[in-house]
Amino acid sequence: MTDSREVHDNLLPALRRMQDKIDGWADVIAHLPFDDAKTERETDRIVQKLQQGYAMIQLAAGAGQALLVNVRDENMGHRANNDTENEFSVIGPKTGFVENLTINMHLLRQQIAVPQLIFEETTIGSLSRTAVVIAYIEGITNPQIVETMRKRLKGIDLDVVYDSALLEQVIADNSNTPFPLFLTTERVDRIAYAVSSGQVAVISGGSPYVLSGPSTFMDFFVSPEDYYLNWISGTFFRIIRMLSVLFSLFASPIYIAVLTYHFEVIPTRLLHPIMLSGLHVPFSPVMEVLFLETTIELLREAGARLPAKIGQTLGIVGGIVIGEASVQAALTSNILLIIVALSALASFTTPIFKMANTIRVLRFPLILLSALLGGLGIVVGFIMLLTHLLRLKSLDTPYLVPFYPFRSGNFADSLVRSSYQYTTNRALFLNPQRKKRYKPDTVKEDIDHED
Amino acid sequence: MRTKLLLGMLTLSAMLLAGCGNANIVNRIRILVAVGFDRDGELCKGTVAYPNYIHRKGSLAIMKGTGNDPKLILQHLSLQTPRKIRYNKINTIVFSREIAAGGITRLIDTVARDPSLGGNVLLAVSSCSAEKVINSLDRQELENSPYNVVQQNIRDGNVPLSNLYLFLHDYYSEGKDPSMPSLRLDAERQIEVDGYALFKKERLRLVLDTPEMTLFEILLGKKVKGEVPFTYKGELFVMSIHHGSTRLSANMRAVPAAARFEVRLNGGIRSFQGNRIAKNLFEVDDLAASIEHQLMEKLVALLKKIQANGIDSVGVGEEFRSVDRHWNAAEFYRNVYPAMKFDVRVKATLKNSGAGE
Repeated sequence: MTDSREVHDNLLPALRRMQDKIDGWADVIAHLPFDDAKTERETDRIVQKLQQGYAMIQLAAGAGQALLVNVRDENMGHRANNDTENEFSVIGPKTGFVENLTINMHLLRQQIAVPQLIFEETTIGSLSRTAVVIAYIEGITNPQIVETMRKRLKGIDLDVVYDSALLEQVIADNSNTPFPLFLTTERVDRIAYAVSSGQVAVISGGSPYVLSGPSTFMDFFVSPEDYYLNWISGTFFRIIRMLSVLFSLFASPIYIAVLTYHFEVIPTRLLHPIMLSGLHVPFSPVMEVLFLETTIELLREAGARLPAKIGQTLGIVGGIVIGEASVQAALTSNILLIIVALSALASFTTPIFKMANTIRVLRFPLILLSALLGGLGIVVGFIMLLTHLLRLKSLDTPYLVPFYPFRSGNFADSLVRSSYQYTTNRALFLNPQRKKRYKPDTVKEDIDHED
Repeated sequence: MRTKLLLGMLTLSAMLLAGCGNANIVNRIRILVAVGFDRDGELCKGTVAYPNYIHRKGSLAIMKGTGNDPKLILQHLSLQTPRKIRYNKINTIVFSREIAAGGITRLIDTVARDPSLGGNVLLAVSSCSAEKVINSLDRQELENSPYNVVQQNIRDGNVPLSNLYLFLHDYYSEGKDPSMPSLRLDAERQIEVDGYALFKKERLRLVLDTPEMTLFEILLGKKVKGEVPFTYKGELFVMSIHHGSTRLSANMRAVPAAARFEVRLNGGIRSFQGNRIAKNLFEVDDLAASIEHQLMEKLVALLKKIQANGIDSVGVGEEFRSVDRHWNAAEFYRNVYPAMKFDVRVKATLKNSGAGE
């Protein structure tokens, strides 16, 4: 608990250096190089402080009172490096939040260096007494949003706040949804962007994930890297990411629907490979798909639980051995293997892990619907999904903005990441108090090479 | 409570609806791709080709069945197989000339009313028996189906555009008679397009040969392409039409009524006798004039031939109908059409590229 270096290097030498006569506590405190040094009378409090790692000094003269000096080891139990572990990006900063609230606040303060960045601290958790901080920028963030977040957090009654993810679920507008309604991220730049565009961030003590809201559906498919690349590549990768969502949701259901009900839509030339690869498979397409999808989910789940080094071996075992062997044993067709592997791959492109999980989960009802009703089933599933998305709200803001309700002002940075000249507005649906982020680029002067 | 009820209803209806699903798991059915119809005494004989994936790795196999109606033939076929028969992917329907001459209404009616079949199905008449045409597909690849043979030629402009949809359109329209390609087996038992079959309503009347087919296509004006042979100073040349257009206009005031075809052709001449145009630029006009003249004569002859058979495959009647409020099909084809004059004007533009001497 105590920082032994503090004790040996600072506290004890300071005590030794006190050669003069000591009259009272004030003399001692004046000699100690510690800010947090207070006298205490009550035994209960002394016990409490000692448990937190304070050092206690008693004087022969001053009986009934003890001096408590803060020599806590603040960093004990915390990790040394703060690289982002799960949200990796090739370009851009690699610092991420850690389990320490003070450091997290500091990290955010490094990116947004104006005094208007407000941290409001509350305590949540009847047992854990976790410090939770609401961060926003005064003068940009709409006060109503801050107020709503404050109210939501105030209403929480949890015993232990293990992670901010718990808070997210409790304050969510709709708890019966597979979709994450708040962005949780460990990337500092992502939270800095959210806060600077008028969202509210919630930092919870002991959690390396910071959540921000109100979030929209599109937020979960935006990677900070989109902004670090030029807008053409950024847009391309963003669209690829969106398409991969569609692919990972619908590829297997469409495979089932087509092979079970609508064989006539298979082009004649494609019929040949499909038939030959699936000829000796004894199962119906839906059984085949369920078998392979479950295998992939097992692999993923096992990979997530295993230590990193074993995880790699698992990938090889799963990918090659199970895939190859099941085709060899005529349990699945080659084409399905490709489809399932690709759709699993596609689901990993979603930058926010929670959203990627959601998409993987949603695949299964769609698979069952397509097995029951074919193409109609997929349509029914899609409509139900869309209806659900349309009804969702995050911190009272519609989830599907800017598509529905349609907000043309926000299209510059949604599906397409436009050039910085066109993304001068903050997200307008958040009603920020200042709408302009910056002035667009002025004319650059060209060096005249003709002489 | 209401949500729960709603969810329950949804699940229940999904389950119930699932019962209506017509599962055709693709590797458990036999997918027919081509069918031929022949007369077999009182009955109709159907020969079908399907890709056999189990024994032949996807090369085609043949089945035969007889019956009075396509559905009955299908039933007969079904009695012979261990797998469900599905005909949704049929892309070729071949009729023997015998059947086509007797009328194909019964067959077409069944086919046209079936939602399983698309409009892009190839209808064709076979000069030999349809059974022979389909039989020739035995152990062939799916790629060699008559559909692909005809489709390739339609794309290249050798055969006029034709499919079930267009056939039905012409069949039900008052001022035009339907038509379809004609197939036969050559000496090596390969399927080839040997002409174009013209129908009077549902009965086959006339089969054009391949040069006439090209001319017919020029008259239709949908996709004017192809190779037109002509003679110039006693030598044979071939004009390759790159693009062109045909405009049909009706002159109903003239006595007798006249139909004017304005044909514009753009093309080039490439023959092994040297680059004629490049050698002598002044010859271009002469060449074009001889093409225009010869083509005009051929087109008029073709129109007269069609006219003499009492059919209107080009759709002259449609053109007259579009300009005449009181147009009456029966009256038109009884009085006007048989005496109609055809005024064909051809404008050929020869283009030449490449280095000259």
